[in-house]
Amino acid sequence: MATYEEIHGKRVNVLDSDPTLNSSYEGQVWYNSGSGTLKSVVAVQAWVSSSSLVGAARFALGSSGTQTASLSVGGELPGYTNAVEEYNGSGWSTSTNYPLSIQGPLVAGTQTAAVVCGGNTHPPSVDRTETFEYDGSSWTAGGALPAGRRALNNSGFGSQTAAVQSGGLIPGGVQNTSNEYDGSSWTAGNTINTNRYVHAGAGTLTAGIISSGVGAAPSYPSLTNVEEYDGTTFTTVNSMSTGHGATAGSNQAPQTSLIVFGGNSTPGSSINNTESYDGTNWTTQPNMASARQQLGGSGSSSSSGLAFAGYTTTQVATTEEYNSSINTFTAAAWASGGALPTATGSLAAAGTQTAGLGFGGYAPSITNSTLKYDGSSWTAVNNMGTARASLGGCGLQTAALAFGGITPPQTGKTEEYDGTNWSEQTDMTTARDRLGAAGIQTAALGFGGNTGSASPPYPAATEEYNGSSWTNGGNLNTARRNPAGAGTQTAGLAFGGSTDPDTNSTEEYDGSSWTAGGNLINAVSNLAGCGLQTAALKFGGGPSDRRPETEGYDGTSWSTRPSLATGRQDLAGAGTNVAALAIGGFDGTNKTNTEEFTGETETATASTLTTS
Amino acid sequence: MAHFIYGVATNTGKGFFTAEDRRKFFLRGYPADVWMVGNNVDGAMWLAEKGASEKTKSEAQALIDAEVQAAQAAWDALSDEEKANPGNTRPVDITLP
Repeated sequence: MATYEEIHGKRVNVLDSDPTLNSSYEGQVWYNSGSGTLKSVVAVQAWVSSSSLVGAARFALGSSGTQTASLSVGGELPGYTNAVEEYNGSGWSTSTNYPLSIQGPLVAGTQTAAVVCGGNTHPPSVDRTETFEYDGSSWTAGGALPAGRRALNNSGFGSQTAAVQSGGLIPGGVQNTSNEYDGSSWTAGNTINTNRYVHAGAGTLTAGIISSGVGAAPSYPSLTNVEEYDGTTFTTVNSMSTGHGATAGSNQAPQTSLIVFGGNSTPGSSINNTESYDGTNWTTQPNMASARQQLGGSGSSSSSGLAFAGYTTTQVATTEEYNSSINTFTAAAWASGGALPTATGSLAAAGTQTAGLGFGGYAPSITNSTLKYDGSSWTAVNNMGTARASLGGCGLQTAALAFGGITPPQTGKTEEYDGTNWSEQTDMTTARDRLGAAGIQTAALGFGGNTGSASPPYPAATEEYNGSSWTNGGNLNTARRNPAGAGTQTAGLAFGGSTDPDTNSTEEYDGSSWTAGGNLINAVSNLAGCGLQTAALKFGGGPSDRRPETEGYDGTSWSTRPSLATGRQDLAGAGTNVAALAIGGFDGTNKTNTEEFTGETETATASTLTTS
Repeated sequence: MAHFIYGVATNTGKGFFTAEDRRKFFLRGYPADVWMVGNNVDGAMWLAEKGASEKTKSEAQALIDAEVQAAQAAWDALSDEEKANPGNTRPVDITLP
């Protein structure tokens, strides 16, 4: 029998323990002398759930992009939508609407440089010729298609300046024509070999591929046929093992490394099958969790894909990520933490997920209670000097700051906590409650809030604390009460709140002035937040619907994250965007609930090789 | 088949529901220790493991109503000064979706 060395040209390494793993170890074999086992790293393929679209469930949408930068355009709700959403690898956020409310447009290119054309508007039913180019934020008219086409969905491939459209549907039947876009106009290409629509496209203008889809009348079969494009001619290549009608795929992937997933089987039931292509052969891969057709898809290789929206037995907004990796991905989630000893709302917090501090609030009377959290349970410690609610708080468990709030009336009182005792410091210049807070004990920010009877006008003023006194900073552009804050004194973040009504406005602070950031997905006040200016988390809020939604901010835009188990307003937040605490709050009654957020993680794991 | 099942279980804090639980099934908490859970095997198992007493939706709604009404009565008993505190709002009714 051949030895391992004879087959692979290398000896099996003997190591005391498993090495620190990365992708370079994929396929390598070593002997772990510590455990006495033969080990290797094997790539595992799997679909995992991710955050749902922000807007309504939809199908028959246009889609393109990669797994971490995907684009969704239009679709049917039912009733056609012009909604555009972008996925950043964690969640979806809305963007500028498409100029038409449309079903089944073709999308080719990337999230920041796409071309969109065709599709159907209704009523009356019109197969569109219009083309629009997208730069990541706005739409500009391009050259029109020679003839209107619908049911193009995920079939386009190429780039904004070198795209290909093929097939499609018109009232006269399923088409076999193709067109090429050069960044300004479409010109006719050669015909495809099999008339089809709602198929999957991938690759480039000179090395493209179309696969599956729905074929021509009278049976409208779910096709297995695949064709490669060389820039001139479509050539039939090896077929897929399963017909995928109304399908999608990793359409920013190269011709030689892609996946196709979902769709329908004849006569139209949704499927969850996934197949990968290596340039020659198709291989069956793990199924999606949710069988769906008329879905959106994106991805950049046979190792990474994104499936979203579509039609199961009804339209859906759910998202799944496909990965082929040595890493095991674990989705973000909120879990229960230790309960507060007394139900409390409108409190403040500081510290981290495993070393937190909560202070003040309504319990239900205004309290000066202070509690510390060790990652499991809350323990009462020395009280603040001044009982208050709706106050600002920041810092660490052993170096926290409490400022403002209502006693009543509104106060500017400031207290520092050293891990044992609170000591009174210089008051804020403007007494206020319901204010935003950020920073640390020796470099804090207080902004916005309420100085009177909780009605406009609200203060826009920002105050900066240096460890001993407050000075005026730059005013918020949008004066508000009950915002959330994150970040530092020189890189702060204000988001949400009420003007009245509630606002989705986000502002970024640079140490002297506020500038607009990306808007929250939902306008919300009485929310909580934590993290940094470029890595923040928003959760909960109200005022009347006690929201459970969580959103994450990357310095540019907000996107969805898994929701709290218990939706609530007037809660406190602490920690980071990947290890957060949601504390107390109000959902009709004050809450004792603590929840702990853990962000998505990925871990490389070595497998033990056995003879069985 | 109903999308959700309902149960009453005391939130015991850390570990009452885990991140893994949240990945497996829908979970939403309400007053009166009412939990609305996705109607699947994992959701049902979680309720059973927590020793939850299963409720119909109308029974769960009644428990929530009673809790909220008690909180409303407590709020109504506050002094006018305490009621006037901005942010100290009267508990509002909650309707299960």
